[in-house]
Amino acid sequence: MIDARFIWRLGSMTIVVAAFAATTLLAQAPVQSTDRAKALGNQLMCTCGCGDTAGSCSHPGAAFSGPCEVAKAKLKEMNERIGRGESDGTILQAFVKEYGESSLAAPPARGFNWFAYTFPGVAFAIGLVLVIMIIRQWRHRPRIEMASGPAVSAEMLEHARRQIERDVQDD
Amino acid sequence: MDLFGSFALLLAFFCGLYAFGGGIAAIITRRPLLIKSARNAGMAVCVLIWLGFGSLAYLFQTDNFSMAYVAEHSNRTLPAFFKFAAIWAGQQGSLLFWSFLLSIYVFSVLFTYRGKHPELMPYVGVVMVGVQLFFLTLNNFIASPFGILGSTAPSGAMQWIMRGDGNGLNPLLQYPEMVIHPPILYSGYTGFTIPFAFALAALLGRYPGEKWIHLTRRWTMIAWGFQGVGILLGAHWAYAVLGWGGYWMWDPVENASLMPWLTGTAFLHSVMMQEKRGMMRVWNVWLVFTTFLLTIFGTFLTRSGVVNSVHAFAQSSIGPWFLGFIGLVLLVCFVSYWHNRSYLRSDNTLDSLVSRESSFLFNNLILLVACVAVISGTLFPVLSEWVRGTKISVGVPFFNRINLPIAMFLLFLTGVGPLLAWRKTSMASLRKNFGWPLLAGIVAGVIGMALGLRNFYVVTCLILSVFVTLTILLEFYRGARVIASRSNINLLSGVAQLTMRNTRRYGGYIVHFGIVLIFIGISGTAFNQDKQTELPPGAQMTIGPYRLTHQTFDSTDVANYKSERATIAVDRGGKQIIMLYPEKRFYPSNQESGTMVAIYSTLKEDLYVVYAGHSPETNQPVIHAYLNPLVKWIWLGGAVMVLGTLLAMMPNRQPVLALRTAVEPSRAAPALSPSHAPVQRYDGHD
Repeated sequence: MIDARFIWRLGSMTIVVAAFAATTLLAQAPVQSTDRAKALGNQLMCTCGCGDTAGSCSHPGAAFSGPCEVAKAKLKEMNERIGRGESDGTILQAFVKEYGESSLAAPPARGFNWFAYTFPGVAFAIGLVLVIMIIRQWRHRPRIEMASGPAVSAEMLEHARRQIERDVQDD
Repeated sequence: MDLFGSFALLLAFFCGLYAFGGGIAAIITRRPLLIKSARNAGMAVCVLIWLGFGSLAYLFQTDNFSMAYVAEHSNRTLPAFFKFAAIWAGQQGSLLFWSFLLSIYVFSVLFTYRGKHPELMPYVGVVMVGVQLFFLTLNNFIASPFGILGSTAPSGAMQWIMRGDGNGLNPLLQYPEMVIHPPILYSGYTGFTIPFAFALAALLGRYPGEKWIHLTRRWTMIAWGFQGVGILLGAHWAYAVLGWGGYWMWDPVENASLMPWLTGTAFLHSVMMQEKRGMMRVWNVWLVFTTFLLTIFGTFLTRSGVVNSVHAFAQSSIGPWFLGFIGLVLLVCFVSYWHNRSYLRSDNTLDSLVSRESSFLFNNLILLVACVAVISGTLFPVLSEWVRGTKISVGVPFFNRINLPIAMFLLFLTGVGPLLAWRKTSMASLRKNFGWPLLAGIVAGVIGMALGLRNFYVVTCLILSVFVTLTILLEFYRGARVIASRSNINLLSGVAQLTMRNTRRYGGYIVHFGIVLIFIGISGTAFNQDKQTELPPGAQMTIGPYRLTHQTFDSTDVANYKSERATIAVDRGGKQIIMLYPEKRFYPSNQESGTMVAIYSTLKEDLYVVYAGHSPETNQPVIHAYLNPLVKWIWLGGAVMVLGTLLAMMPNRQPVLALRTAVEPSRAAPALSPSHAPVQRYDGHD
């Protein structure tokens, strides 16, 4: 058996480590609040071909590893729209209108796009039903009975049970 | 040498045809000589591929720019080790590299099991050579790396061209990690051919029992380990070279490598059900088939141009070949299964819903759902274009939204699964194993929230990480304490002995701990910060607790590239802690640039500094600094996973002791007494 003192030590240590980890994370300021345009930019694709979002385009292979001209133009437009007091949704909609649906980094969850969002869930549901069916089948499968043979005495069984209990207790 | 390489590959192809045909004939006739001949031909194929690969390496090292492939991917000033890495920089060379790595596996299997398992090995040989033949077909007739540069003379005759220099290697690949990342990842991809070959062979030959599983366990772990390390090295390369501050962007090529790893992980778990209980035979066979098919599908995605990716090879006509091969393999698998499905019947029963068996079922379900989520997200743009005629983008936000809940559930199962008993777990056992870890996890979560953590996934990850870590620690502690008290040794020695007694089980726990570390590292992403600013020499910027001072700026000309480098002094709290040298390189041979990121890495956070180049508007140097918390935990987790995998592959140090009949029972007294009977030593496993 594990003694309570050990459990307390382990538990306290874990809590200290967890508190340290949490403090470490908290020491970091959250995403810069002034950079709303950048947060929005992360929801829009950069169309320069880098495959990244406009908010994080680093344009690998180019002479300048910052946002490329395409991303910069998008970020600038976002800043202007933010300055005009537009909401995030309105700004994104404006970009979709201008550049098409492919400008969004994640397809809007409507129409045919629902398929992309729900497919893993549907797969999970089907899988879950299958797993339940398999478990039911396994549980209801007739057990193989022992063929007749030398009988095991109650004493031998008890001895074996005690041995197993000892082993399990130690483990 | 080009003719030599070309000829070696052609000979390998014909030799492969013989090994394949001869192998089938050997299976039908069962003639020992034919079996041996087919096996030797299979080994000869491998040697010939090595010669072909060696000749391509030689052509690169000797700057033979009459070869189109060499001229396209190398140049004279390229350092020798990058000339070696340039072999797999393009479509043709990487396909030959695939063949080369596959041939090492094939040769190792044929050589290791020569003369053993006569019922199984002819089938295994045929399957492996069949796969090898497909790649040799590509190497010889579809994408040969031995094409020469030529032009048509006025007379109409073809004339060879020898260029003075080559185009050079893509700058993104001129990074030391790129010399090892593709070989390791490809070793994973190709390695899954071995369990596939054994599974199909066992099915075709109706090979009895779980023997094929025992035979392939280490091969599967090798492939799985390589695949995992390859994925992490790729992530590290993206982090250190691409200069965007991240390590994973759910790019189709990254996803392609993740898919077989997920199904391979599922297989490594479910295979224990078959070994222990004889269950899930059909499932395991199909899981191996799926994993192998996903390795081929992954390379199809990378090479066919069907999805857009910065990592993908140039668009080519090779896609239909891969699709054809996938279709053929699927057909063979299905027909083999249909004809031999009765052989896979298992008749074990499930005693309880709360048992190791059901936890494996859920583990497999979640891993497969994760794989389905990755596949569907990767292919959805193609599907959307096909169905609606409009292409959409599926980027990081989509994948994070879908995969984060799945990942959390997986992390939960990582803690729960291993501690559930086979057959049935009692409530008392559940309380004993999970009570304290769960409580500690919840307390950690509450502390985190009290301190201001608000991101749902970060808090969940914190709770689960503490929970899983404690379950693992307790498992080590309990076992080690018993050994320590029985053997009169200290607890640490007890841990070492415990681990070495059952390497598979405790190696597995170490792998799980590595996974926890990776999850902790990933959770840090929620707190990333970055700042980009013009920073002329003498100027300063701050990010988080760090102040960066641009001290000097220099430029140098190296043989292969021109470099601009900033010298940044980093101080924290007024105390200088490190000098960083972010660099921007320009490669004249291919007129492209590359970044060399400077990183100050601690367990707490990475200060990641990119010299982005000169601002196009003001011509001032621009520094992009990122503060990425906990990233080091990811690489640390990867190292722990490697350690655990290596450990799990080792044989148990202390063998399981079993009695065998005494030689002279009449004189031995008593015959089955443990103290007198001779002892047979076996390697035990969990």
